[in-house]
Amino acid sequence: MTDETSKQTKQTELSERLALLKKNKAFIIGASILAFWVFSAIFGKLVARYDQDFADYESISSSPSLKYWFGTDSSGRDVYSRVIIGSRIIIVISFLATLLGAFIGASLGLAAGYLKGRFDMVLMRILEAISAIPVIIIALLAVAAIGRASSIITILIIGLIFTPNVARTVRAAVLGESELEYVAAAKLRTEKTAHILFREVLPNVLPTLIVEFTVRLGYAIFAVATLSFLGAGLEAGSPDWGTQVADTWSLIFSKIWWPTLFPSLAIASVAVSINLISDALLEVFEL
Amino acid sequence: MSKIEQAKSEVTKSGLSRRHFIQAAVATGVAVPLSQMLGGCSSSSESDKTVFRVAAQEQEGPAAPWMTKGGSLGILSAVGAWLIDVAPDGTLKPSIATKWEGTDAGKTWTFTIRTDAKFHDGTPLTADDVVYTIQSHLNPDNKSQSAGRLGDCTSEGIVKVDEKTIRFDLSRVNANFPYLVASSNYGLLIMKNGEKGDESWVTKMNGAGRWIMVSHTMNEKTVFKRNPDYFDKKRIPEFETMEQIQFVSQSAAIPALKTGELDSIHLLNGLEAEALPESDFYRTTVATCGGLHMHMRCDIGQLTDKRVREAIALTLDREAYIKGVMGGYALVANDSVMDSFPTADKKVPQRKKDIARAKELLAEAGVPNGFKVTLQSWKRDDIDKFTQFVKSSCKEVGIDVTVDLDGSDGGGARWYAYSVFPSVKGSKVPNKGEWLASEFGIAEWAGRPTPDEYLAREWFSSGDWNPAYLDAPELDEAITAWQSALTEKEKKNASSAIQKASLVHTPIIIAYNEIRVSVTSNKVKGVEFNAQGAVWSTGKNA
Repeated sequence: MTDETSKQTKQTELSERLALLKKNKAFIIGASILAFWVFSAIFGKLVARYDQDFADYESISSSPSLKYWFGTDSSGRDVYSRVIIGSRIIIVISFLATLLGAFIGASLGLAAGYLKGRFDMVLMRILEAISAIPVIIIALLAVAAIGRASSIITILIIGLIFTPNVARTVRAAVLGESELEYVAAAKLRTEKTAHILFREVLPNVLPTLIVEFTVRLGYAIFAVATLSFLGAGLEAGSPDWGTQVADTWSLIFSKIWWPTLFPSLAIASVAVSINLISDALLEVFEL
Repeated sequence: MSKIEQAKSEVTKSGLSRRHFIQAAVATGVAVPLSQMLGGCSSSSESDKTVFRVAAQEQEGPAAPWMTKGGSLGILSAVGAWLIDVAPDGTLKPSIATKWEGTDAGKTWTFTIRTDAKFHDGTPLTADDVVYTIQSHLNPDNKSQSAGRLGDCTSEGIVKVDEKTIRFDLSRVNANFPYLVASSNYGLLIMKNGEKGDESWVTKMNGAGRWIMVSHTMNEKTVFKRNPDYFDKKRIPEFETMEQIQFVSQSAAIPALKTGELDSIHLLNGLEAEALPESDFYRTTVATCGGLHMHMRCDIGQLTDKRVREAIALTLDREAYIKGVMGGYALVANDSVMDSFPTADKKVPQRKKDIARAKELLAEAGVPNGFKVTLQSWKRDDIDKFTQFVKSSCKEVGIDVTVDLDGSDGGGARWYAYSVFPSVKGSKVPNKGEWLASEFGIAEWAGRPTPDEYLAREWFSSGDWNPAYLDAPELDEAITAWQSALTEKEKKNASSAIQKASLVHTPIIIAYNEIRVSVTSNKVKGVEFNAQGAVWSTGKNA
């Protein structure tokens, strides 16, 4: 099989798998839920009924009603509006953090899988050492060491923490690809290593990378929410979902459940939707 | 372990599977609220009436006399004895001092000491111990947080007249001096001669108060046993043991109260207190002059223009906040510490929300579209809510407030990391995340029976805890007049001048004075708290 034929076969295979994906129910449900939250993240201010900080002091801790669909919190703020507007924070931060982790991890994984030898061995031992420490512990330590949390710091921390996982997955895929003929052909053409890695090998491990990306995105959503819940996330009183849960959960014991339930459901729905998408990808791409 | 704790535990473990990941998400998101929606949470058990368990705030520092900080008041109030006690109704009651008398127009004060008081180690408490205690706070080597409370008292001016008499020769007149050595100044509990009031004191807590410390783990639990030698048994509830258990927030203690693991919560939000059924719990309230003081630096930063400070004050709808968020458990204040005292001038107009005027003031100050500013404090139930109140209020005039709350170990760890005046004051570096260095910050002040300590430390230009760094001669003059006022008329005149100067400069916004709410199980009777959190007997024990 020639280099060109091999590429064409893989492209046809990709098209067929994408067609299968579009018919996959888990994917459709997951993508629909995620699309709703992405829409809210982009157009949240239009969808929300009140400003995120607007406080109605005559409706403190009001239960869900026509005026306040998800009720109000203990400061009189509309929970529905805060859940909608809060989606932008968690989705943007999680997406950017995952993108960062995927970019660095994929680059390292490509290099390690292709170059092999001592570079691969040293790099993988370092990444394994980092992976051995729980994600949240590293994140909390980093926030504590830096002294304060912010969106950018959260993105950097989570992105870097996810790097080893992505690198290991991509490396495993590259190890198999690097033995194939099209790579040998590229070497014979005396292509540069960067060209071989990013133009030849990367497209062929892209499905693996996409699945890993969706899995990491799910973890990122939960990591961002958890950091916020533990108080190491964003500004106090921010409408991000983890902070909302942290600020209101103790009210549950006074039977004021709505300020906690709705942001919690939002976290759960995004997490579940991303898992449905990644499960569908795994199934379709037979990974 | 709660569902939320389980979820937190799951994500801190390595190798979290996707199944667990979803389980944790769903557990956090659904299980807890639903369980509360469906089942409630009250399941009280029979309380052991020989043990009294009370929820306390997290400690912001060691419970030591020279190092007093917010969350330690309950502990110090249990083990300590002061020259004078402040009762729950705010009146002064004899304690170590059986009587006191001012002469020379209040420049000299003489205290008669009781002879039957003993420290917890059995040593009799003497006049020497009293002299040592006060002098130790005034010794700059000890870096006592309470030194500034003693105002015009000097080490040389503390004289042991005889075994039962102590005389304080003040450097100037202070008609309210007895209040400065009362239990509201909690660091001034009488220590045994020679013992240090630093961290080492915590290991024994050798006070002479109602309760003897049995065990203490900072920010977890302190266990006390009843002091059989305490000199006034009417003031000590009839429990053999008292446990103070620290919670990250008072709201978080509610489940333990409902299940009978706790008997009482002090300083609970009024609305949350009212949500607890009267069939199971009773509420006690103490009106205080304490509350949240929000300072704005007058010397550097964006708030130096008094029109800007006044504009911020005018954005606040104080009555709505008190009624809505605090359930009415506070009194509207007018940005001075004099408002809640009987000597206050009620003719001084109450500041009210006025957005139009606030916008005018900002325009006059050259910032018609507002500005960005960071409001700093530490994480606590009431501070959380108040900062959001300020943020949403300021937004109406274009001031974009970023809230920065220190959440570390009760918050005070960083927030109270200040050096005693003048080292920090001289540095003039704002926004270091510390009380005395923040441009715009909030500190909590417990109630005091008189405004003297607030005035001397927080409002006087050279006060060691003057966070706004206001230097206004007319305010200093008014404070000096208050301190030397002997008659009711003189006090009212001085108070009026202080109130007016406070409104002119607005160095500190005081939106309300707290009514402190405690909730106690009906199975436990005869308990009340004073404004500092000391457990008192109502004389109606179970």
